[in-house]
Amino acid sequence: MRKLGRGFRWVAVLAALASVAAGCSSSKSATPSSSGVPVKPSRTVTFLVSSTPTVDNLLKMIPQFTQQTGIKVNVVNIGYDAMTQKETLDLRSQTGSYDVFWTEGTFLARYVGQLNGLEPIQEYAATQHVDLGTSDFPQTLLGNFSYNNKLYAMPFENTLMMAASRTDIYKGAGLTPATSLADYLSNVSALNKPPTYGTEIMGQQGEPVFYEWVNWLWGEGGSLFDSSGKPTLNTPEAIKATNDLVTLAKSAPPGVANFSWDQAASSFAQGQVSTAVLFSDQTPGLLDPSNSNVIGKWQYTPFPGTANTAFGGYAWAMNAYSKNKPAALAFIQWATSAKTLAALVPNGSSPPRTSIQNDPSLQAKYPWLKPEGEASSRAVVPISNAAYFDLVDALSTDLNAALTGSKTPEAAMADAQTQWEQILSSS
Amino acid sequence: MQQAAAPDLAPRRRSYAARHREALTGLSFIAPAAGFLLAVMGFPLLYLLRHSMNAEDFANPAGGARFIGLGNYGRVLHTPEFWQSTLTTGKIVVLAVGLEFLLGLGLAMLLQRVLVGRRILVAVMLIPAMMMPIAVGLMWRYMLDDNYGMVAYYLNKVGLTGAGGVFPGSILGTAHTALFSIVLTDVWEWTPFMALILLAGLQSLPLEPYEAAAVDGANAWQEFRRITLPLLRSAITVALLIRIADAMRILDIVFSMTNGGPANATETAQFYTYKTGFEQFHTGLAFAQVVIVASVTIGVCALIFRQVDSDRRHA
Amino acid sequence: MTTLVRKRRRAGAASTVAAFVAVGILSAPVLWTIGTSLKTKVQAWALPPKWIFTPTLTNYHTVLFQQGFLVYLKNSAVIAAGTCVVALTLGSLAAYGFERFRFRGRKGVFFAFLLAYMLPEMAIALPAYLLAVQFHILDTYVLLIAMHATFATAFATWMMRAFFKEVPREIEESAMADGATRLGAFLRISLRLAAPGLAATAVFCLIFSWNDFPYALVLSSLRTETLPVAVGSLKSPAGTAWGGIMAVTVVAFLPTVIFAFIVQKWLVRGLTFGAVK
Repeated sequence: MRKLGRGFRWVAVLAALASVAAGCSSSKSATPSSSGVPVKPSRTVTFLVSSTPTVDNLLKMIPQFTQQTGIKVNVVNIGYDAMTQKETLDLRSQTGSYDVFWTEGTFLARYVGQLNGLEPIQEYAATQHVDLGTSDFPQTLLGNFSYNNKLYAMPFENTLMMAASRTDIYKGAGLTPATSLADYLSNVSALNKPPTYGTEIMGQQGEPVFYEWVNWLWGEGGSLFDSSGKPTLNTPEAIKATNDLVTLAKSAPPGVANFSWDQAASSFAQGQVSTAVLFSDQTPGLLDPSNSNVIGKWQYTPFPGTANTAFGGYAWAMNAYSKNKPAALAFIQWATSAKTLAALVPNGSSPPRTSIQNDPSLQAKYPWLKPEGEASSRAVVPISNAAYFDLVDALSTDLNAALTGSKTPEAAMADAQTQWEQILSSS
Repeated sequence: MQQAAAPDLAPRRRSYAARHREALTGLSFIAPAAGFLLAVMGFPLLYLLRHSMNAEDFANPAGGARFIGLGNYGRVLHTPEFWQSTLTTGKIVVLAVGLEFLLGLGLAMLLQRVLVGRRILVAVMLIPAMMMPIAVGLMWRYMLDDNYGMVAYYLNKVGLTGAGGVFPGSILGTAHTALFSIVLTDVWEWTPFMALILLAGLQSLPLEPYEAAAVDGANAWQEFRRITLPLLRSAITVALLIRIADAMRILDIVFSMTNGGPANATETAQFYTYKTGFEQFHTGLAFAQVVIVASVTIGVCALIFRQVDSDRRHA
Repeated sequence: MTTLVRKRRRAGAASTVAAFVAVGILSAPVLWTIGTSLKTKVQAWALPPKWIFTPTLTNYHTVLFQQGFLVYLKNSAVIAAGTCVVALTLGSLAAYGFERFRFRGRKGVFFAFLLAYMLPEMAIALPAYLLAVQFHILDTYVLLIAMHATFATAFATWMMRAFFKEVPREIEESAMADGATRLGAFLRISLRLAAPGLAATAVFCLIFSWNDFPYALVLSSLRTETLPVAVGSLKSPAGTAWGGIMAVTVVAFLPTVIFAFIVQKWLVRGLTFGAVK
């Protein structure tokens, strides 16, 4: 009986604690803006974002913005997939929980075309007599964030696909970074000396392998669609591109078939490979001494060749259902201003503004800027279709099958073609 | 005689009124929970059933929602990927729950005989079940990383994986090892849970049959086979019920370890639904998948549940 | 007889060693988790794996004080505690109703309760989100507690029903003969006697709520974001912050482990009483 008594006491303590906590919760939940009485709607902005090194650095600067403007910024920082889901839910339900959020060129068909949920930012800024300085951004870049010729988001980070190479290893082998796909392949196989491998690729199914592959597709002269919008995956060029990836994987560390962005970046930063195609928003990881073994021993060159490369950049969009539009605009203006973007450069950002990218003094100090500037003019959004997620899912599964040898490149491309035709005919 | 007849009649009359009252009292105890569940789950359930019969995309309101009856169900059942993912789920459930049961039973029997430190052992054992599934998946991906992983390092050392090993391919980049890694992770996380329930079962077993068996000179295996296993049956059923229902919904681990790869080899039914419904937002189709998969889960659980219930009645 | 005792002893010693080895192997990844949470990034990637190193608390400091995980920890705790209270209250009452009273349709209703435990959360979360938008309760503790309490209540009902089975009816009946009401007998006698079961059930409800991802992802936001959702922000394209993730993991399992250690005696007994008999 005594034992039971003690047990009961513990339960009672727990229950008491819990009811105190529940009490807190109900008093908290009575105050929020959803109850319809926001205190000062225009002075608070809620910002939905997913972590990257440059985003993290921006978040650290937010107190400066609040000090300048008096606008408070609530940050919701979550995983990438979770972020896109939250955005879709919010736009579909027209709730306006997030005033400013992350957008990519590939999302616009859903966010604008289907959900009509983004404010055309340039038009809105004009009505507010706010100058966003869009003339400082390259036209192709603004095009990446436009839908039906209207700009919907302000570019923040370029995220170009750059060929990164180890200067010490290339010099030792008497090689120079490739300027053609054939050179790239031969460099990689010549430098493949485990435990330092020739290269690595992002092979995981989903967006990683798709982004890795599409550069090779374009480089080999292929395309995703023909001029009438019909998929062209079952072409000699596409098969050749798939073969290229399979060839690259032979000079890569084990496990690249499951490499996502983070592992690809870590692998190069650890000094495991001589060459890799990296997203330029991973640069900060190469510069950070707590993360990188290759400081001062690497350089970027544009992806070899002259064809298009995949643009993975992101921009800040304003929710059309936002209740705090003027404050949201002020935040976007600040976050993409020349001053803010320039402040992020020393840590390794890829600034989208021409004035920063082409600044000779900055280029001399931060050597990744110049090659990125060269690469940016041919970086395009690979797919502008509301079925983007379906298309990438189908194609990347087949690419991954080719990489792991469960399908031949020919069979993989034939299957991908069939699936794309089905997806496009049903949507 | 009169006294004998009276109890024969009276209980029946009383029992009618009593039964009525009993039902009312019982229902009044159940009502708060039932009302709560109905209030919270009622609308979502109806919504799910209704929208599983629509041709609709959540992210495309302009595309509208057209009632197509069981059309989505037909389409799902004709999709090879659905069947493949269901098969993968089946493999994972059988392998993982099977291993968890065998290892859990062994561990429980060890723990039962432990002389000192059982409380510490049990507390430590529970930690895996208390770790966030997402973190568990990420952690195992990290430990199984072919190049830098701690577990992979030792597996390579003993010649199980790595170049020249029994499984020379990449651990998470090869179909069968990736699937087994997922199973392994689930086993790691939930074996202790299984062991605890079985340990509880073992501790509640009566001693007499064992003493009798000792007198008969039965060996350990006979003892286990003839006494322990039959007596433990209902504990085993309960543990299996919980784990099967959970394992059929496996998602987080897959998501953070392989993203369904390589080439969909680790894509489970739940992952497929997640992709269709919450990445591509084909909600009509996804809801139909949910209803189909949930029906199977419920069917399996109902079978086990009936088993438990009959065991209880006999006990 | 003495040989038998000696044999048992020897078997016991061997089993003790074997059990410690087995649990040791099982918990190696846990040690690794704790170790990694105390390492720098470069140490975390070192090969051969480093088991001995100079620990640093940087990761903890970063996640807790710079990345705001204290707030997420608080949110998780509030929601888990609320879930426990709701689920244990409703679940105990319902379990008692199912266990003590006989009526038509009882089994059907009991199984229907289990449905709430089995349905995939993602599918429920989407309509729940739409409903929450209508009622302006998105991103509130109340909403998340309500959603977590659905599967927790179902589980609690199932567990507690078995515990009440162990409470002799006679004690209740004598209390009622002394003038106690049904509810009074339930509260003062049955619930008290089933307290170990209540503790065991509480641990599992706590774990379920603490680890839930789908509901928290869809229904929480700025004000109620929980640990499992927030931890995703440590996975960055430029390299996952393993140290940070492991630090959050340790911070997240510590409270539940401490709680489980405290109620463990009743937990094991609870399971003996409950699920099994």
